[in-house]
Amino acid sequence: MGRKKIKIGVVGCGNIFKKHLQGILDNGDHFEIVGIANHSKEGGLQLPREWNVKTFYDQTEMFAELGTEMDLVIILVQSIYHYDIAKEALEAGYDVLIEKPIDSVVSRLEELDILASKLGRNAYAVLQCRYLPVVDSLKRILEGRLIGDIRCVDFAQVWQRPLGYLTEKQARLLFEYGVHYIDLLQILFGVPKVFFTKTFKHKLIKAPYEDTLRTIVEYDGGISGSITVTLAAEPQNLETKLSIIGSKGSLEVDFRENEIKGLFEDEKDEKEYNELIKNILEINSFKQLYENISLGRGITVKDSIPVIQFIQDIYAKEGK
Amino acid sequence: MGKIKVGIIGCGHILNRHLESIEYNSKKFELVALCDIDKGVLDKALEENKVVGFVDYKNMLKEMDGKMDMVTIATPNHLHHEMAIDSLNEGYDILIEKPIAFEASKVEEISDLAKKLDKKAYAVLQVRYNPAVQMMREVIKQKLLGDIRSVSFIQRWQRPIGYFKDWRGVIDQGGKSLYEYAIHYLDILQGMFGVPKVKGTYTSNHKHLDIPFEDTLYSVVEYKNGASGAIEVNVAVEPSNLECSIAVMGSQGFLKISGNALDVVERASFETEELQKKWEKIQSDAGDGITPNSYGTHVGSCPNHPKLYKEIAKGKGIKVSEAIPSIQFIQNVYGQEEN
Repeated sequence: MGRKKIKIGVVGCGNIFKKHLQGILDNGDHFEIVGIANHSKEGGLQLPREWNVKTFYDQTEMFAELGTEMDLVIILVQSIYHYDIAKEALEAGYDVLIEKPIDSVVSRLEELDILASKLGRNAYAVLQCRYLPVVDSLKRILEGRLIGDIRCVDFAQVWQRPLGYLTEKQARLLFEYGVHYIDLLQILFGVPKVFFTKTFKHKLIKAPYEDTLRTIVEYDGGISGSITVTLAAEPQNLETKLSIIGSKGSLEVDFRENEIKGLFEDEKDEKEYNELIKNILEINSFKQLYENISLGRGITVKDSIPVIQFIQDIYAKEGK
Repeated sequence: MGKIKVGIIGCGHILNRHLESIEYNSKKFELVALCDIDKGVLDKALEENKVVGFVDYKNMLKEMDGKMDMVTIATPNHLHHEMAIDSLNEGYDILIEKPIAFEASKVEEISDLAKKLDKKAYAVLQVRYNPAVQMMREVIKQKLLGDIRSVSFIQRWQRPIGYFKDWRGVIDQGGKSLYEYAIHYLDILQGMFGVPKVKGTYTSNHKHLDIPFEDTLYSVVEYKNGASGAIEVNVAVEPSNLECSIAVMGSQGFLKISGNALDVVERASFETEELQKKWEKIQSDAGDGITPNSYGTHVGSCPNHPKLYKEIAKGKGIKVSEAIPSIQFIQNVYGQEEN
């Protein structure tokens, strides 16, 4: 007999729901959506008929009506609501999967983690970029020390976003847009010491916070680093790149193109690198996200504390 | 008008660039004297150049009176200022390698003296002549990018161990990293966007651990219209130069020039077809591309010295006064240093 399917309640049916739905459909043997709470009941996409999904105007109504017919609540609303809804869902007896950023305050993530443990529930985070194949190859290249000791790590996310895109219902720039890549930085190099941060409004002048941020950091071992995140590029997204300079070579990771380019001092290292980048495939990271949750190996809220700490540290050094 | 008679002080690795330039502009210039404090180095240079040689530049200035018009100063950085002042006072025009001095006030002093004595004082800031740089300047001038939002400069170069073993590794003689190898590019930045306010500077050493200044520098700046900027200068890169680039984000598009030494256009994107067409016109009007100088163990900036001399012959050389902002820029960057 197969495992019992995990029954999902969805809170929020905005753009990101499509990706979650695909991840759920790709793991159709393990998941089934049973409820959707959205401010407009028409928000849902076409769902498989056999699911028999009930729709609600808000999560409180959904929790009350579906009770134990539901196992996992996925929270896809604007980020300022994540914490309250996650807490409510945990207290109602559900596991939760929360879109990024879970919250912009580390202590609130810790609260959710403690609450989940106390109630014997699972609290997962949507940090699916960790599953990108390019990340796995990069980890192996670094673990194999193919570029030697790391000297500098520079990340640039240069994106275009239309006017009116940033709202007060979202957390600040890095929490909302930089979090995935900053999460990868902390996985690869740890949470650094932040030297200084400068924020700017270049395009989204009416937004409640910056559209451009530049910060200088230093990772363990004295590795220098810079982070640039901007949404003020025109006429389209320009790059999402990580440059890593080592004592025996350099790497450039292009997250948009899903590729790693390397330059090496030693031929042997270059050969090994060529092997490691041979099988970087395009994957659906949401498929991976749900597969891991079904196996009980999802990325937890606790796992996402370091990246929120990292971002908090960056903003704490914001200068005029 | 007769040829401009040139004496060169300093017969180090940059000498050949100046000799080639005089040769290239041989209708306008003539080499008449060489000077180097090291007799061996001088003799070697004299073997290939049949001109008068001096080990003491002051003797050269005295003895060449009436036989020399311009002095090219290509010595270690800390000597530039004094030699420039002496040369002007002896009645010569001057051309000074970068950096003219480590303080803007000293550059100003040279400029003021030249004016007072009615002599010409030129600076070697020849990267201004790179075709890619000129294209970017034209794009900014014609406002094809709209309002400038952000300007990022990245210089990731490889410099071999031992590169700083001579005067370059002594602060009082070489200055620090920005004076020695970033000055051309900061000059380009200030030429297009002005001298920015520096918000913070971080420095570190990753490869050249025995030098008394950084091999890696990051700075966050803000230009006068509020455009944000970043400066990254790194000579701890392996295994070779990675890039030297300026990326400009505007309200109507994006332009990045890069290559080893701002020698190629990497990307140009504009919001409208009309802007794109104007860009294509700028490209077609630009000269051919050029390749940066190679010094065996490393690659440097682009070989525009012949153009520099050509412009001097036309009376359009880059004046020493024009070099003041780049020195001020560097002083500002180091003024905010923390590490």
